Amino acid sequence: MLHMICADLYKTFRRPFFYLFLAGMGVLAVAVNLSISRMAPENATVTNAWMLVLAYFLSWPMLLMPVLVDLVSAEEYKEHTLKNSVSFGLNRTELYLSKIVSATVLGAVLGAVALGAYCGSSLLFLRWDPAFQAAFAGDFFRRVGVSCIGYAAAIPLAAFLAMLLQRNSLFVFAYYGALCLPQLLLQLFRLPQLSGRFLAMPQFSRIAAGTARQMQASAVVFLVTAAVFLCAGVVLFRKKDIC
Amino acid sequence: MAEVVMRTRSVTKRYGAFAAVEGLSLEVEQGDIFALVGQNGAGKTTLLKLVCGLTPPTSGSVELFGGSSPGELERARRRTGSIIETPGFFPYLSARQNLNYYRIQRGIRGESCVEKALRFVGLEDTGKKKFKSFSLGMKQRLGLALAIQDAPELLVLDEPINGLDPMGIREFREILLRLNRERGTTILISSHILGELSRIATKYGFIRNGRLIECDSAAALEQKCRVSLRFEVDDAQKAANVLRDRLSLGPVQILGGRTLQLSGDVDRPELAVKALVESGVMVSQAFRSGKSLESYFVDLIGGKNIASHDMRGSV
Repeated sequence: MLHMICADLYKTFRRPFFYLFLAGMGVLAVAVNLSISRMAPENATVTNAWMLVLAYFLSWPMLLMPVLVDLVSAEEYKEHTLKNSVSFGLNRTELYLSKIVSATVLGAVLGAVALGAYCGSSLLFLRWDPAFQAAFAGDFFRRVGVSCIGYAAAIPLAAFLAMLLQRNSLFVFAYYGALCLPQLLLQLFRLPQLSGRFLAMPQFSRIAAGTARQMQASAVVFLVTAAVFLCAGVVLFRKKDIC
Repeated sequence: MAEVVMRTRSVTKRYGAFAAVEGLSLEVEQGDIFALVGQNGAGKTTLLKLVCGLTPPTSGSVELFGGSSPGELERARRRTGSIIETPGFFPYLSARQNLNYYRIQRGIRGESCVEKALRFVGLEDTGKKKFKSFSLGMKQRLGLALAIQDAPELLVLDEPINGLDPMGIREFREILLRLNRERGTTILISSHILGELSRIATKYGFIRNGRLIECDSAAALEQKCRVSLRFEVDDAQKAANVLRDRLSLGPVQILGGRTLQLSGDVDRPELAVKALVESGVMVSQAFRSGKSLESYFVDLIGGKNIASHDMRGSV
């Protein structure tokens, strides 16, 4: 399986789009801090910038997961390249899991670049205030860390949908639908407490402001989501006709 | 007796009520160039996909190098190379990078196999040119390069010469023959270009509606399709003696009291007629009979009338 992951990374790291994507995310992160420093100089502190992440941006990376899945696995369906791997006798389960791991590794690289650019630029361009202490930074990274479990859990969901719907536009719409529709439906049926307990997207608001216990519960929701879609994906992929 | 490299036992693949392949049993022996012949939709690609593990059979089994369990098949497929339908590669990578991707994925150490495969198919000078800029012929060659990069013992090729120009077809044929002769690679190939198949195949399997309707060696098929010259004469025995004595042509066979057959492609049938007439044999009819592989195939799939009119003509 390690060979398969290495091959995926070899391929992606030779793709100009990946570097554009990384650069875009980095520039965007720096741009947010620059705009804070220009537009609201009185509130332009490092603490506020990091709080902004927790308050508004924590769930945004979920929207980027289809891009990572497209880089690693969805394009294989589009370009009909999977047959080269399967016909060589590579184990289908390992092949599917390797795609998930590769997308997660790429996600980690992307996360490191975006978070590094955001935190680094905030430290460079914004005012250091007394509230910005080691304890605050530790709490921030703990919450971001739990969120990362959520981003990683979104990869099996996106990979499953990419396999099910092999047209990119459909798969991306289905992914966003899978993230948002259940929450809307539960609210429509006046069951918002269920959405908070079982769905992935509402967990990010709990992570942003919740207690350690609530964060643990959110992590469990993410892990169950990942397990369900990982198993469903593997079962489907093992039986799937590859063309 | 040669080792059986690939065997299917009553393999069936159904899509809902439609059977793409039904109860098909086939054997390919080591060193064979086995040609699968059939119309569009006959089930050739499905059969090759079953062999390559791209689709699971509904029933029956596929055996490769003596193994038929899932684990054995996975291991056996590492001894095969394939091109199924159009070659699929990553458009933003070069030929070398594409092959390297699969080399890494398959755990093959060192890039020498990539260089060797590219050289073998004549793509060693493509440099940084991306796959998306390749011509169809180059794409097919890269597909073949991937198929042979791990020196497979069995090559499974589905319509590999589709869309190639005559030069490309010729080069592709020569590559396949070299692989078969130099490396002893067994080849299972399907193609619509029957004339091309007839230049390389050692065995044929004819498929119709997902069933194998006939399986023959090239020699047996050649015998069946052999072009011959037939005469209707007043005395077949005398005519046979005349042809044997006066002309050094192929074997003469008496088919009945008044009919005899001169086997082989006779370039100048008028010489045979002249010899017979000069010897006092009355010739009432002389005509060519026999079939090309194409006509034989058309006959098999149910177009007898078309085929016989095509190939039979009076001298």
